[in-house]
Amino acid sequence: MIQTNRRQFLKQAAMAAAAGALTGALPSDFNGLAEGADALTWAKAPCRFCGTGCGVMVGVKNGRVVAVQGDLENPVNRGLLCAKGYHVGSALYGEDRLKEPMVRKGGKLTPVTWEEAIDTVAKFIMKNSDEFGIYGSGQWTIPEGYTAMKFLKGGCSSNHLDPNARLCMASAVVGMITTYGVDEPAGSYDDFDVCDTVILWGNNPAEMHPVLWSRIVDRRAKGEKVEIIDLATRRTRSTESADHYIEFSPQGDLAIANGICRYLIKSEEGRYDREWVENNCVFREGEDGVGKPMSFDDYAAWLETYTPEYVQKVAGITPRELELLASRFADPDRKVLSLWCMGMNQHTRGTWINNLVYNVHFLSGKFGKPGSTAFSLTGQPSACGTCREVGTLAHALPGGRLVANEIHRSQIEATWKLPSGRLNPKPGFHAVAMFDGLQSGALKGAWVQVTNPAQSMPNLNKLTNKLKSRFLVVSDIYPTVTTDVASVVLPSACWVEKNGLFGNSERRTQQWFKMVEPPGNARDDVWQMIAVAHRLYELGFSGMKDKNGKFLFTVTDDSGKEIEAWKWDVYRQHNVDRFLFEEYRPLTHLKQKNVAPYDVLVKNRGLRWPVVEQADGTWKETSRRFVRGEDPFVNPEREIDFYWGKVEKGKATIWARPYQAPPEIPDKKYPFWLCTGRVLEHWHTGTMTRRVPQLHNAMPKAYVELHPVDAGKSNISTGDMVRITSRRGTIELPAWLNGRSLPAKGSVFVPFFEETALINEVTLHEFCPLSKEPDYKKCAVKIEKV
Amino acid sequence: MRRLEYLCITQKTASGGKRGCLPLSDMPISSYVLQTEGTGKEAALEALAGLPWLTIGEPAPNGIPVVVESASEHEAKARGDELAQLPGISNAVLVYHNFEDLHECE
Repeated sequence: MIQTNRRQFLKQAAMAAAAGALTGALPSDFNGLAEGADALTWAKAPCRFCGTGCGVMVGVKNGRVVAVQGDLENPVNRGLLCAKGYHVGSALYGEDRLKEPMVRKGGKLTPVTWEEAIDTVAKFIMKNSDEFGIYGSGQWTIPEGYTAMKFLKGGCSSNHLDPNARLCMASAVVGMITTYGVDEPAGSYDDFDVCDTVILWGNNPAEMHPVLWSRIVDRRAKGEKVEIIDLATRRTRSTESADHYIEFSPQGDLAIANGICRYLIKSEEGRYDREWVENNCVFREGEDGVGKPMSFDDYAAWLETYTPEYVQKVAGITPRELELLASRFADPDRKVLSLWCMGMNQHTRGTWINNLVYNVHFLSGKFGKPGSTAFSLTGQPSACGTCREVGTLAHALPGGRLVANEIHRSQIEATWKLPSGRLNPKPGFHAVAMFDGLQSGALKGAWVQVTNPAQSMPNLNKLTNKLKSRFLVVSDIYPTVTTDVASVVLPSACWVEKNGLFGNSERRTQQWFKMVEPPGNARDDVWQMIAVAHRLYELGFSGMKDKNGKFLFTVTDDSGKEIEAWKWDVYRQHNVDRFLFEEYRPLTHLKQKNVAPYDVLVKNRGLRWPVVEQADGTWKETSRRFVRGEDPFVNPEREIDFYWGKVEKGKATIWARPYQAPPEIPDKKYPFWLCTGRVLEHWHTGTMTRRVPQLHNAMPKAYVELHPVDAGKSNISTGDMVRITSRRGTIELPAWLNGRSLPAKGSVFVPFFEETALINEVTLHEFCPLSKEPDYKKCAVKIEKV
Repeated sequence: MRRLEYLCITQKTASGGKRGCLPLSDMPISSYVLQTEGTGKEAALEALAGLPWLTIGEPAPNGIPVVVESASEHEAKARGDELAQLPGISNAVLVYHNFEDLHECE
């Protein structure tokens, strides 16, 4: 290797990585370049921010993460990273990392030993197990979510367990289950590479999923034609690359989707794929998740309401714009990809709009074919892998099981060696109900891990202002507005400070090993829960014993020898993740969500389930579910097989779901729509990204974006303070005109990352009655120049 | 109502505490892939040629690899943003970031 100085080494390594990202291969001497004279050790991990699941190579030197590069071998990002990925390593090193457990004494959080903290938590649960909840996260690793599930549902016979994923993708979950009987997308990112048209349904991937966005836009650089249609309520960075921008009125997406379906069936130019529909679909109508049957003719007649004129009236798009959208689906040779995220999910009819977008794809036969699918993007790194697949939801058990299903309960009781009847058949509190319960006193306490509900819940003045008077345990890595009101704060290890597994948006399960030690006395969330469980066991809490009287979390090492995993010095010497994941893995087989074995995932950059062992001993992943030749569980007599079809095996449901006006509409007193969301620089409530000076300086303060015409009427200029008031609360923010996005006239946009300007004091309490996901995207406000 | 007075790096939290910042690197080195559309590559290469803090690699059909050197993390971020705004460039995608040689935050 050429001897040169360290800087020169790093420059060569950086150039080699960039060239490798373009050519698809690193030069043979890359490792030598990257390590240079002072050896760095490199290992793989998925990024811990959004749900894309980019692969990151993490460089460690002297026990610290000092470099990151996009993982060229990871098929998700092929060596590329976004601005947040740039800082994923440095986000570990904020100077106010929580390093010691704390218990509130005399009104003040006071450092204590781990023994005291664990004992305090265990003794509260001992007395209040029925009135205690766990509020978790799509940032939980798979073993963390599984442990929390086993702790509360298996150990406490309580189902008051729900994650923050309820706030971001529950509508997608219920949409899929009501449509084809089982959760998670059918397609994958492979479809992004071959589609002809991308339709963004209220989605801004240029800021929220930048690497996936570049995967699409980069195709144009290669000379491929990719049409992008941005169907939205405001112009965003994604609009800049769009061929067409179609602006619709909030909640109008319901009418637009039905209008497209009517066009496909009724218009002279329309073309619906009769054969595909007859082979693969049934029809139902109704407002709930069950509905009642209807025929195709009934459905076609039902669609008559959704004429272009009616759609224009309620959704605000012109007949020509509706025709443009519909024509893409009517073209039999065009491959169409629909993408959505929070715009469709955070919606008081989130389940319905999910159903309706599937309708469009089914009627046009644009589903289950390369480049043609309806794809729900996720916002958190393991909302799919942990919350949805493990099932850390108030109604769920692992692998797609339900607490209300006796057979499912008995299967889990057998796996966990529980006495029969231990699992509670009654669904617990979903997220909003959990915080309602903490307000009312129906719940006396809760354990919050890896999330920040005092900032992220809606209608904060009503839902979280009594948290300080409850027993709130918070496991986190930095102080937050939620730790501010906690009774006990437990310092956690983060990302590569522990072992982990995440599951991304395209069913890809990715594993990583611990690379550096957590700071101070911070410890893994899995360990924290096992330690509290064992303290309960010591105190005689019967739930923490299995049917043989043994500790619920009896863990063995690779040789099968039991280890005392509740002792930190023992836990940290073993890979408890591997044990827990292998206990969980067989549970994924029930609904053909077969995840790969842990040791196989170690050797791969993630695999998309179902993953099935082949005759030669290799493990094969699945790009497209329900498709013959790709999904190993498809009936070979069917080209498409929705094998968990709820109404008829093999078939999906086309739902007649009507347009329904939003629960709160601007009026004379509150004349503006408010939409909230994220920004490129900050991730969710900003607890990590606001500690990165570059990101903070790039986006230091929340703002309110207005349309210049609206601002002019109120004499508001950029920088002026604006008071935003709804029926629930009020905040003041500086105005930003002609900024990054452009809201429609009569609407404003506010990001939610800033903890000192909590826009969720203003947002709506209402949620989708099927998914229980709140609507953060539309409520009525008034604006005043301060 | 809450208000926040922002300092350059140190921030106050909602409860009035101090939010910790991250230590900074004095030798950040990054590489990017610069994506171009249509005839943008020629314009991009011309614009890049005038940047003294940049090393340009061999252009490929799907982009231009570059290495950015800077004296501080703030400068590194600014230069990354600058790249994305240059003529002909549709996207600047990060590939590599080394932030060793950390020192204490001021």
